[in-house]
Amino acid sequence: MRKLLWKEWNEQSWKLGFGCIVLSTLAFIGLRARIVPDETIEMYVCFLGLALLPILSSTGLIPAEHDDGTMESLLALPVTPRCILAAKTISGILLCAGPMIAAAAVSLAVAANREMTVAATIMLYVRSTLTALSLFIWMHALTVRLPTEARAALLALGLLILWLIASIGLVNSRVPPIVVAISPLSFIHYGIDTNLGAPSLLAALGVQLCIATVLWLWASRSLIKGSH
Amino acid sequence: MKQLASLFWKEWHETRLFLWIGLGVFLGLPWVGGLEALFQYDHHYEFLASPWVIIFGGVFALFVAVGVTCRDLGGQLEEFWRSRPVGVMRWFLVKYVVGLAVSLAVCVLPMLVERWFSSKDAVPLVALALMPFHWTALYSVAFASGCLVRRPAHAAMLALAVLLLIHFLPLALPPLNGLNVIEVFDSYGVDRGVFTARAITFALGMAVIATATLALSIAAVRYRWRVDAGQRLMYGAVSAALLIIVATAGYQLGTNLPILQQAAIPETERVSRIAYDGKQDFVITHQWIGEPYPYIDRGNWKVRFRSLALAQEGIRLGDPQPALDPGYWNNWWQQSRLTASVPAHPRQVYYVYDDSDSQIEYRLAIRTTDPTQPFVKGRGLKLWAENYNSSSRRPVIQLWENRLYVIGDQLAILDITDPIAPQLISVVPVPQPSIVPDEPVGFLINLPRVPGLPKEQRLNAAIHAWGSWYFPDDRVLCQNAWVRHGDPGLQLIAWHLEKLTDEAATFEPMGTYKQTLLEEIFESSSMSQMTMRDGLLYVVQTHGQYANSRVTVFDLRGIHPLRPVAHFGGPDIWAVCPLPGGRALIGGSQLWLVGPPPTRN
Repeated sequence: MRKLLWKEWNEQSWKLGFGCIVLSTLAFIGLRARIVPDETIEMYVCFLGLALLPILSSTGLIPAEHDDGTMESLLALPVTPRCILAAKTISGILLCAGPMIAAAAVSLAVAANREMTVAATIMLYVRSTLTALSLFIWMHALTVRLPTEARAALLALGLLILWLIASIGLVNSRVPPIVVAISPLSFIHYGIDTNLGAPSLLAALGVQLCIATVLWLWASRSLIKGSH
Repeated sequence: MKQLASLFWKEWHETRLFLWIGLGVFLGLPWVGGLEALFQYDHHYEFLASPWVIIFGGVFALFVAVGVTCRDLGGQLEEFWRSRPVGVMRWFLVKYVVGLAVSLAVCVLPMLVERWFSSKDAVPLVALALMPFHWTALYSVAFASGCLVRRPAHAAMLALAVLLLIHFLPLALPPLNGLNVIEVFDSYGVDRGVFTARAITFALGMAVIATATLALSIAAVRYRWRVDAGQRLMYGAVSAALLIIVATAGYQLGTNLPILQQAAIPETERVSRIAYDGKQDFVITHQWIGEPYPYIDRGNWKVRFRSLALAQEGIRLGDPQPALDPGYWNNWWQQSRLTASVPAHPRQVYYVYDDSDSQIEYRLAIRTTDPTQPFVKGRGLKLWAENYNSSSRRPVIQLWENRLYVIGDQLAILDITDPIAPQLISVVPVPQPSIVPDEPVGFLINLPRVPGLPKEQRLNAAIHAWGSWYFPDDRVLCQNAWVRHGDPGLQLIAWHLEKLTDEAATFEPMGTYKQTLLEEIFESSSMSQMTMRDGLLYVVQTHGQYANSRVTVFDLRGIHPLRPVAHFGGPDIWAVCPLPGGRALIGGSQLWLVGPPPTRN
């Protein structure tokens, strides 16, 4: 497992650095310049992160192996496919969460308690990171058997658009919060309007953890099937 | 000739698919949109292709260029072409020309159709003439990218990064403003002639980009240059372009006044005015809604007064003062010209208010800014009454030695030997100060004849007499410079006081400033205050919907008058008060004490 993680780190670390640099620099420039309110710039950074990071990380893990023709070699190693998937999932989680944490740190360093309190800033980034992770799990699971990165990127983009549209429909006071929590974007519903049946953070986290487990198990089964 | 025709036929055969797809999109979508409008909205058919073409025309040209290059240069086909008895340049240039012709046809034809069937204003002739230069430049950039990278997705991403720079860098970088494609539509608006200096600059700039990138493409094919593009290059190129644009905009408009101190104010309040009485002691008015404090109801605004002190440990904000009167608020708003304090009693303020009913009755009142003392009660001292007249001027207060002068349509002179009991000496009509305007080349102001008042103060009174009713600070006079706010947007005009006599003041033009396009996007043109001190002009612009309000500082002292030297952005900024030494107090949702602007040589 450690060697698998090392391999993933070796291949994906540049993406982590890239994400950290882009999001942190945007947050730094935006907050230093103060052209727009702090909350606006932090929301831009969060939206960019939660939209791009899951696509970037999910397409670069398993579909990239298929694309390069290295998946067969990987599956031929004396490790279970589930281990391979776990290493890739950890790597993807790091790719999604790392840049968001870096951007949050920069935001706090530049503008803590300036227009937004530290707690509000941290909560914004926590919710956005959880959204990015939920989207990543969906994209990671559904692209596990796709043969090329390009197809995986298209599917991931479609999935993002689908959930965006579905979430707009879910923002309605008549929809029970537990149903809203099915959407990976339910973590940020809270920021839209608390009166519109948005689930609490814990409820959304619980539902999304269940969905993520199911998706992950389904993906591992697909991978095992593929290996046969 | 036959060989060239064959090459053209081959290229046309391979590229025509782009033409049909492009025309389908750019003619089909507006047609569907027109039908939708016809049946669903205004029951009027209108063919609007220009929004689609302007937004996606460049992207389409990019796809065509990448498609035509990567098809023949991407694999073994290049070797095949090199083995044929055809000059490389010949088939390469044919490829360029056919692809460009298809791109331009797809972009120009829908706009011609729109111009033919719909309003001609929607597609001005100048835009129709200039946009092809823009598309040619974008096509050439993508063509060069295809020749260098030779992998469609990677070449497209690289070209997209350059497209972002070509689109947005001229917006953010003032020296490149001439290449700004947005101005082709926005600034020209209607047909104003194609051969203007701006239009020629734009066309030339785009032609230079196109020529340079075509030369690069030729070199890349001739010398087999190739960029080994991977994911890192793709992501890096687009992100770098994005960051360059954001950083350039941040550099141009970003806050660069250092915050020395800051103080929170109650959440429901906003600073709307800051005054400086000479002893580091300030009074601030707030706009505020809710809460059972004493207030003056001014429509949607409720106003409160607080004392303020600057100390080593920070800004100290006092409690709201217990009683207010509407006349004082009216005058506080216009405090720069309607209030005055005796230097020996800085907390005691004289002000004029109009007790309006059927006619305007001007009264002089006294108020103390000391929260420990009660306000002076009563209606104040009657100065004069006049019928309401749209041309009547708001009075201006000037103070000299033990005399107080109220200069409006009448001149009231008061004895303030006893500062809390002013005595009215005389009220006489005074001729309006006249201006002999020829603003672009200079002008002359005839000073009001006020016996005993120095000419500098009479000039000040004359200038403030023209201040607008709602924004009394739309013009400032300080250190022999007069700056006026112009329209539209933030446009400043400065004049230098050339000569001041007992009779008149002569002003010569000094410079003008017009905000850049980027400033127009991020800054509202609504100016709330303009004030000047020690040669630095502070202009407050209130925010639009998405951007912060901001203070822009101009330096009038150097050889480039009206050069912006500093910015400060923050939520709900409404007031600024310059202090000695270049510092300033800025008020909005908080109070900030900021340091002097950075020195630029």
